[in-house]
Amino acid sequence: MSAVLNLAGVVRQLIAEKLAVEVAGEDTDLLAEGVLDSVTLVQLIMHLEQTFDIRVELADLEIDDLRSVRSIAALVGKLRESQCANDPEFARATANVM
Amino acid sequence: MSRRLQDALASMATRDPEKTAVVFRNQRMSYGEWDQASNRLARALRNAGCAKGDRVGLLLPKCFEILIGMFGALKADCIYVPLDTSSPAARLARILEAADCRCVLALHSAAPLLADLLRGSTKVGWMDHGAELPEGVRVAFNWPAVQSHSPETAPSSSTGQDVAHLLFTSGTTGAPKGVMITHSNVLHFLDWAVPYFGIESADRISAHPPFHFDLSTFDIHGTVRAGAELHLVPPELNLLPGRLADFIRDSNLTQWFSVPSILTHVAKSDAVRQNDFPSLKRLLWCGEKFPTPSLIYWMKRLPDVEFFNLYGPTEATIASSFYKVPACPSDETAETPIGEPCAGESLLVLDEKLHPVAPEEPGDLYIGGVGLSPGYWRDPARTAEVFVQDPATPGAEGRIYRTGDLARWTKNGDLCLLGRSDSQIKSRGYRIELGEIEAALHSLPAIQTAAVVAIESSAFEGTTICCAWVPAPGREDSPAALRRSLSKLVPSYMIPAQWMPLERMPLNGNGKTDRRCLKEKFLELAANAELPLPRPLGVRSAAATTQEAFQ
Repeated sequence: MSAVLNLAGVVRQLIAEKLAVEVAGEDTDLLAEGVLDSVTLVQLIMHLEQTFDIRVELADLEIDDLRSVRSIAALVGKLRESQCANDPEFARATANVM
Repeated sequence: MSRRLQDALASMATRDPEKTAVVFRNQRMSYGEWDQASNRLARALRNAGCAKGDRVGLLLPKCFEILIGMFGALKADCIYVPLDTSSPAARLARILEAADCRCVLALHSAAPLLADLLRGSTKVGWMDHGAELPEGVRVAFNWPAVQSHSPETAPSSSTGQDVAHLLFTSGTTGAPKGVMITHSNVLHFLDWAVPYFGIESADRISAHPPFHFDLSTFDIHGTVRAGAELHLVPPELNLLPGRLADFIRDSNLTQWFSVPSILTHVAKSDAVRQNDFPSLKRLLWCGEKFPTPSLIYWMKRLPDVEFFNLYGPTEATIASSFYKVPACPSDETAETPIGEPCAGESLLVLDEKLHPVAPEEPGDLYIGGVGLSPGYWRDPARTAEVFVQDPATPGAEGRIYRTGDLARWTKNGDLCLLGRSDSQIKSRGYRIELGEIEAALHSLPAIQTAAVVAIESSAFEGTTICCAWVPAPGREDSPAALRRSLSKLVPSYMIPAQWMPLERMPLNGNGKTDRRCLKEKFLELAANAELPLPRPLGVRSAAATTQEAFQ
């Protein structure tokens, strides 16, 4: 559980620092709150890619991937797992979560 | 009796009541259902005391009910005022106060706003089919009451010269201003546009812009005029190009009309397949410049689609000029002209003395003709400032509107935009007065002084709003905290993306804020790669590129 919680914390911090938006909670609806629009989404994706060393394909995303800090963290976890399968440290950290 | 907007709906409902008029999230509304529901609502509004010329606020998201609300208001001889439900309560309250609505139509989704907004005498027409009206709000009627009225057309005395709707846009001093649009303003545009684009009953038309946006007027009333099918684009699809492309494909849309920013967003993620959207006949944009690299992407992907650039401010109704892109541009730096005037409209490039300037010379762009609004709602001073008399044309024919855009005629007789003569900007198609953002910032106790500048980030991105501020003594609020306070005053699209604290505001020789210096500071910041500006088409972030190298 800890890896996902950590990821969520980092995602939330990223949104606060890079997009200058304080998100109330990890389940706050980012779409309803207007935190994400087409511009901030692209910015966020760029920061996620840089921070977590992953590649996010905009065309493959579903609305529910972006609903909240928690769902974005889950997306990051999923992408890390599929794209960084060779990274033993990350695999170990996420093994008991996914 | 002169024509009115609602006449086209009634006539379609008579001719083909079963035909689908609107599609939204797998639900359909026929022309007959739309017309009857509007007739019932018109009677409910009358019953609630709405008289000719009264304003009916539409505090509704994109849904069937807002479309019924528009026509219900018109059929009751009222003026409809579409409201942005995602706007903060403080801003909506100012708009509601200015519009002086007799009645506001709302659904459950707007309930949190109602408590803040409607403590006064304004009554609510509760359009929700299920949810209860929140406590403490004065109700004029609810949905079952609407249903109890007759579906027959109520007697009406409105004419084409009457105001049909008010559209509120950003104002320089912080207070949004209401543009009055008459039935005939819209009908004149449709008289040109529907035959020009060849819109017919088999068409499936996108409704992408929010309904408080001028562009949506064409989507809605153009569809009704042609007896076509309107497909409401769910707003959340804006985030996801792949899902938006699915929507265009699966709905078999024949016409797409939007601001360019969403088209650029789709282009950047390469969500369009080669020869995608086989039903699509034409793609129109309006509201701001469509970056040429993005246009080239779309035209290469969709070689059988016709592409049109429309131009025109709300004050001249939907659009005043058009340009059909003759072929896919070969030069990424080539600008797309705004073209030639729509029928019944005129475009003038004038100097300070209102004399025409020569081709290739820059000047102020003025618009005249059938699209011109009667002016700003209850604001004759502001109206007189920008709606002026062309000295070359005496009488009512010579009434012209100063757009604030700078333009030049090319030698080929096309008109090209050069920028703004004031501090109005366009961001993602939204028309924003930087003064409105600054006025809101100055109302925050954390800020001693602030200035907002807009940076054109590159050929591909739109405009980035940047804020430089000097904190009030003893205050050290973070950008995130300022942003949160500001978001209670202005809509999210007006909130600066970049924040820079300063000890002192740079001043120019006249003692005014040195905006050029501020822009340079923000550009410096961007050059140091600290600005998270979106990447251009085809360029991946370093991390992604590294990833690719390993795959």
